Parts: sequence; C-alpha cells; structure tokens
Amino acid sequence: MALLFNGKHPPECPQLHALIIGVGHYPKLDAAKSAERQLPPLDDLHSPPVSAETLAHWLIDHQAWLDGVKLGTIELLASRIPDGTDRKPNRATATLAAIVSAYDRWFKRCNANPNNIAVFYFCGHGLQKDNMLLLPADFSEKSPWATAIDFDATYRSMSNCAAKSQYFIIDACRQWTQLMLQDLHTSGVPLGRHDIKQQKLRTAPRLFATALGLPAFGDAAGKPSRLTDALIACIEGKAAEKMNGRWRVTFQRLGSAVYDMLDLGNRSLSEEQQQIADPQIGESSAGGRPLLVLPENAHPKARVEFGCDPTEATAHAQFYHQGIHPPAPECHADCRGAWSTELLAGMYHCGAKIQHPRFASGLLEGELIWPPGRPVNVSVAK
Amino acid sequence: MKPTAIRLRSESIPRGAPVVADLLDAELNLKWRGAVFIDEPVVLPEPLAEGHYAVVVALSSGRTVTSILNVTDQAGPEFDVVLPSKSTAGSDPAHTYPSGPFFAAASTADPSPSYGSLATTWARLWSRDADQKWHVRKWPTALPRETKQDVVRELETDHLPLGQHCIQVGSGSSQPRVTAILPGKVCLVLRPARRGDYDDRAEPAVDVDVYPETPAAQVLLGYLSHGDLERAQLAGSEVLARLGVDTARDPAVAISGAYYLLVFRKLVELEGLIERHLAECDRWLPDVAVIDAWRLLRQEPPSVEKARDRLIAAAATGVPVFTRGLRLLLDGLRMVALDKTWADGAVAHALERVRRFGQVADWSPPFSTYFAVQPDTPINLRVGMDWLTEAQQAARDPCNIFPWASAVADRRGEQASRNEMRSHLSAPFSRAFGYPPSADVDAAKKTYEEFRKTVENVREDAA
Repeated sequence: MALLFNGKHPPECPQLHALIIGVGHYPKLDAAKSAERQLPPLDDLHSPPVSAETLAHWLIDHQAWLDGVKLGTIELLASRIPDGTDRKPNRATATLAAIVSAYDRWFKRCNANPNNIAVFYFCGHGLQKDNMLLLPADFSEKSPWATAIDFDATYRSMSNCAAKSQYFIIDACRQWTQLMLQDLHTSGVPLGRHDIKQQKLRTAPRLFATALGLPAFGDAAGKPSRLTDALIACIEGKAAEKMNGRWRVTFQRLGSAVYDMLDLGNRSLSEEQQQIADPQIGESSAGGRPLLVLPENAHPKARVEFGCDPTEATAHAQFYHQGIHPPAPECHADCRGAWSTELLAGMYHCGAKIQHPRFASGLLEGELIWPPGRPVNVSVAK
Repeated sequence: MKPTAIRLRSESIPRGAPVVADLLDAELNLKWRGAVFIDEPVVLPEPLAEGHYAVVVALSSGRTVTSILNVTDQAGPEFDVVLPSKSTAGSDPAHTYPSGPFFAAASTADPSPSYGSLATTWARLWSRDADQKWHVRKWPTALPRETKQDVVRELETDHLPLGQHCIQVGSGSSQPRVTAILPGKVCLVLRPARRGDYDDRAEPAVDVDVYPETPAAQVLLGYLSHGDLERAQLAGSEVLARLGVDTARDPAVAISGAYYLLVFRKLVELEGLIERHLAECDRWLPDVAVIDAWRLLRQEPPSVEKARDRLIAAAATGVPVFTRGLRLLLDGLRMVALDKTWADGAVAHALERVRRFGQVADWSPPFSTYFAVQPDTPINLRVGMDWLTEAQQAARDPCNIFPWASAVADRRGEQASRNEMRSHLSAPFSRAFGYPPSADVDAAKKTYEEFRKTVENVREDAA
C-alpha cells in the first residue's frame, strides 16, 4: 500500500496531504540503449527512495509543528535498488500506474477542503524540454514518452483542485541532450485531468532542485539528496522567521531559504559539483499562509561561513565570535583557515585574529546572523 | 524624539529604485517588512524605541545587504540607513552591483571561465520591421576582441524604437541563441555560460542577461524570476501604485506589472492596466495578448473562446518577450487544444508554431531565449536544419563528421597526417563560417554545401 499515514481526520478539518515519490530503481533502463534513443545515460539512483522516506517520516514526526492544519495523509511510493536484504517488501513501487492511482486518491483528499495543503514531492530522474518530464520506475527507453510524467500538465491539473495552498517539489535533474532537444515527439503523460473552466484560486509555488539544464545531486548511498537535505533543514528552522515572538516557516519563505542553503554549501564545492535551486512563484492567487510554527522554546541555528576580505588572508586567520543577543562568551575556531559553523540566530561580534605582515586582525561588530545562514567576511586589509 | 520613518540611501542602487526591506529588532523579531524607494522616506507603523535594529534589504537577485541601526534618544524623526556596497554574500561589490544593472543576477557574481570564452563571441541585434520581416540592425557597439575569459561584458543598445527586437549570440561553434529584448535602452550582460549537457558536448557558450533601463521593471522582474513570492507582491503593489500616465512609453514597467497582476490574479486591475498602458503595444508585443488570454481564462466565468482567439493572435504576432509569456502561451494553447469544444485547425497551427520555439527554449532566463539561426527560425533537426548541426559538429571535429578523413590519416600511420587532414578541413570551414556566420540562412546553407564539395575534393586528393 502507498498510504503510509492516515490521520483519519474529518474532511471539514483542514489537513496537509502529501504525495511523496522517490524513484531509485529503474529496472527497464539500459544506459547503452538510452543513448541509442537519444536519451541521457540514465541509471539507478541511490538517494531518491531515501530522500522520499526521510521527508515522509519528518512530516509524521513533526506533525505537531503544522500551523493551522493537521497532518492528513501521506502517500509514499518509493523504489529502492534491490540489495537482497529488503526488509520492507510491502513498500509500494513507484510505477506509472501506481503513481496515477496515488495521485487520484491524493487529489480527491486535497479537493475536500479549500483550506487543505497539498504537497507534491518527486525525487528521481527528470528530463527537461518544453515540459519537465518525471521518470517513474517503469520508464523504458523503448517508448520513453509513453511512460514519462508531464509535470507541467500535472501542475495545470492541480489548478482544478480546491486546496488553496499547494507546494510542488521536484528533486530531479533538468538536463537534456542536444539530440533530445530536436526530437519533436518529446512529451509525457499528465497526472489527472484538467478542465479549462474550473481553474481555482491557489497559491502554488514550485521548487526545482536545480536550474534548468543542470544536474541535481544525491551525494551518498543511504543519505537524502542535497536538495531534500536542505529542504528538511529549512522546515526544521533554517527557513524560519520570528514573528510575534515565535519562529515560523511560511510557504513564501521556503523556496528562497532552500536556495540560500544550497548556495552556502556551494562555497566549498568545485564548480561542477555546485547545485543551484530554482524556486518559482507559479500561481499565487490565494494569499500566503504559515506552514509550520516551531515549538515555543525553539531557537533555530544559522550556518555561518567565516572568511577574510581579501580572500587570500583566510588561510592565515583564526576566526572567533561572541554573542550579543543571545549573550555568549568568545568562541574560537580550532585552527586557522576558513571556518564553517552553526550559531544560534542572533547578533554577534565576529572577528579574525591574524599575524601576517600583509594583513591585520579585523573585527565586525554587531553582525546579524539569521536563518538559514550567511557568509561573514572579515576585512583584514592593512 | 523617536524615529517614525526610515530612509534608505545607497551609492550603488539608483535613486527611486524600489526594494523590499525587513526591520528586525535585536532579538530578530520582524518588526516591519515593506517596499522602500531608495532615497525616499517610508513611514513605519510605530516609532522605533531605543536599541539595536537591523535593516535587511533583499535585492531582487536573491542577495541581501544588511545595515545595523543603533537608535538612541538623540535620534530625529527620520532615520537614515546607509546601505553597504557589499552584499552579505561577501562578493565583490562590483559583482554585487555591476555598473549597469544594479540588481545583478546572482550568477554574474561567479563568472565561470572554464565554461566558456567571450573571446570568440559574436552578437547580432535583430529588429522586426513594419512588413514583419526580421533584419539585422546596425549596431555601433562592437564587441571588443578580448582574450581574457573571465570577464563579464556589459553592452548597451541604443534607444530601440517600439517593436520587436532580439539579440543573437554565438560563441565558438556552439549553436547560436536568440534572446528577446524590449524596446528602449537595454543593458546586456554577456557571461560565460555554465550549461550542462549529458552529451558531453560542452562548447564555449555564452549567456545573456537583459536589464531594462527602468529600475522598477528590473526589481519586479528580479523578484518574480527569483521565486520570491512575498517580496514580489510587496514591490509589485508599490510599483503599480506609481505607474504614471506615460507608462506606455516604457512598456517594461507596464508589462512586468501586468505579469505581476496575473500571478496574483488581480484581474480587475490587470484589465485596467492593459487598457491604459498596453493597448498600443498589442500589435507588436505578443505578451499583451498572452496576458489578456489568461485574464480571460481566469475570470469568473472564464471566457474560453475569446481567450483562444487571443492566444492565436499572440502566436501570430511572434515569440513573447518574456519567458513567462512563452510558457503561458504554450500552456494556454495546449489546454485549448485538449478541449474538443474549442480546438480547431487554427489552434493546432498556433500550437505547432509556438512549440517549435518552446522545444529549443531555455526556460531559465526571464527573457525568451532559444536556439535559432534567426529570430523566426528555431534550430530543429526535424524541420530541415540538420545541415547546421552537421556544420557545427564539423567545425568542432571535422574528422568525426567525415570519418573517412580519419581513416585516410590512420592509413598513413602518422599523427602529423591526421593533423594535416584536420587543418585541410578546418581551413575551408573557417572561411565559410567565420564569426559571426551569415545572417541569411539560405546563404549559409549554400556556403556549407560548397564547403562539403571542398571536402569531397580533399577526400579525392587524399585518396
């Protein structure tokens, strides 16, 4: 069964319903044949099922954080690469038929109340041409377009859904081949149906794992992908803003916070490994709404990347910070060089101690550090 | 006296440009968020008590700049906030606010020399005249032939008249791309591209960032493109509140405002904006008909028939200037084509036409960008442009396109012979396809055919 969680709340109660898909195993794919069909060299992936399951379980574990809604249902479809030790034989496989069926159930639940929140998450292979195509587990290079999901058409279909708050997360590559660009028959199967006369009000941002034409990354087996990792960090507090004394995560802030998180991570990566998220507004006719409110005593942390201006001084500097709000004693990096650390959101003195004939120690007073984080460059020019 | 207003000052951001600012107290409570025009005071909902505050300004590029305020009992009623010239990303100020477009796209902060070269770049400015034909426009701004690769290059067009315009850019042997631009004065930033390709055919490629002259349009487009929903809404409402009666002279503000109103489904205001500021642009700016079509589709009740006609009209006018418009045109035509009540031959024809552009479009930039040999001829193998791809591959590696050349060289058994063969093929090709290639597709094709004949002669000589 794909239904991982059912809160069994009555339809009149506003609920969050999630459809979470993670496709790692593509049994019908053959990298060599993919190339013959002018497709990118597609292969099995480790991170999508892990990413999907991690997100699903995060939502279940943190359902008390939901602001103004209950956790309704989670449909989870995850296809892992078989390793002979599968301990979850009943897990629903993310084939096209299973996804279509889960989508229909999800749509119906979301449609039951305009105050519902609909969350659509896909992690797996993706291709981009004039439409974004998502590849289910039974995607085959023999007739590729009959088994690919047309995400743009699916997004349009959801405009017929009554749920005024919708969020779409596509954790997939958006690359193409030159030859694929020139294949006139590239298309996909839409999920759901779209009635041109039944477009409802909705705020429906989209978050793509990567900018168009670029790859997304799943870094290691057994771990969520980089985007999903950033997404979970953001809903856990990195996308939070303090309003009326409480830290809250809003729909509006989530996409740009994930972008910032990945951007911060890119600083320590080679150019080829960098990932640039692509948050898109989509339609926004139903106003914004809070998504999560952090527990009363929660104080989110922000990531800080210490460096020097000029950059070449960084290797010679020992960085430190001292909390003003909240007050905290001076804390030094263990060694010289660039320093990546996490601080409670607040106001800090940030400095660099340096002994070098060309540079001088520097101090930035009253630096504001807020989620998701920021680089701090201390000026040390003599 | 407690301050009741703040005024943002900046050396880098033009006076009157709208930005969205957050005012946080020392404990990071969001005290206020709103749109601010540079150098103009904005009244706060309540006076500022003594203490530390931070003003965080989110640039439409996604970067932020922060200023710390220390409000004392000596403060006057208006508090001046001087924005630093450096973003919180710590990037070089010149990259944060390039001299032309002040809100610089984030990507310009990280020029990627390894992905492309500007040294071999050519650029061509196209305009569409009254008889609907595209022609290359004389452009006094010549591209400097620099060899330094890590330079982001800025260009400015002259004041372009009302009508359709675009810039076509190519680099090395990569496929040329066309980017739509608005009339008026436009700043163009050329930068080496980071463009992924599973084919591993990475060629020196160049992306073009387009910045309309008006700061308000830049900001609104930036927020909309960057997915910053709340800030787009705040900035948009302020920009539209200031729309003057002469906005028709600057379609950039009006059209970006119209997209804003469509996104936020403010349909009554949208209808008024189209009537007042965009009606005159309708005959040459396809975006107007696209926006109007979606207004008709989203109103209660929807007017599908009128919307269909507007979509067909838009497709006939040309490619929308904004990528958002191209997306909406394609989606709208697809929706109508799937509905038996409204689908007909005209819809199918329009969809086929738009799809040809959509299939070779880059959906990332805010302005419509697609691979094309000329603005109305998208590059597509299946519609008779295969010779161009072959020509480009030949330019990269003649021996690969003409395998017999390698075979001949290999038979000779010397690397020198292979290189000689390569130069035999490259030289005539370079003569035929110098930079930039011919603007006339038919002439270019003829040239390539002549080149092939030359190649055949080389083959016979080699044999």
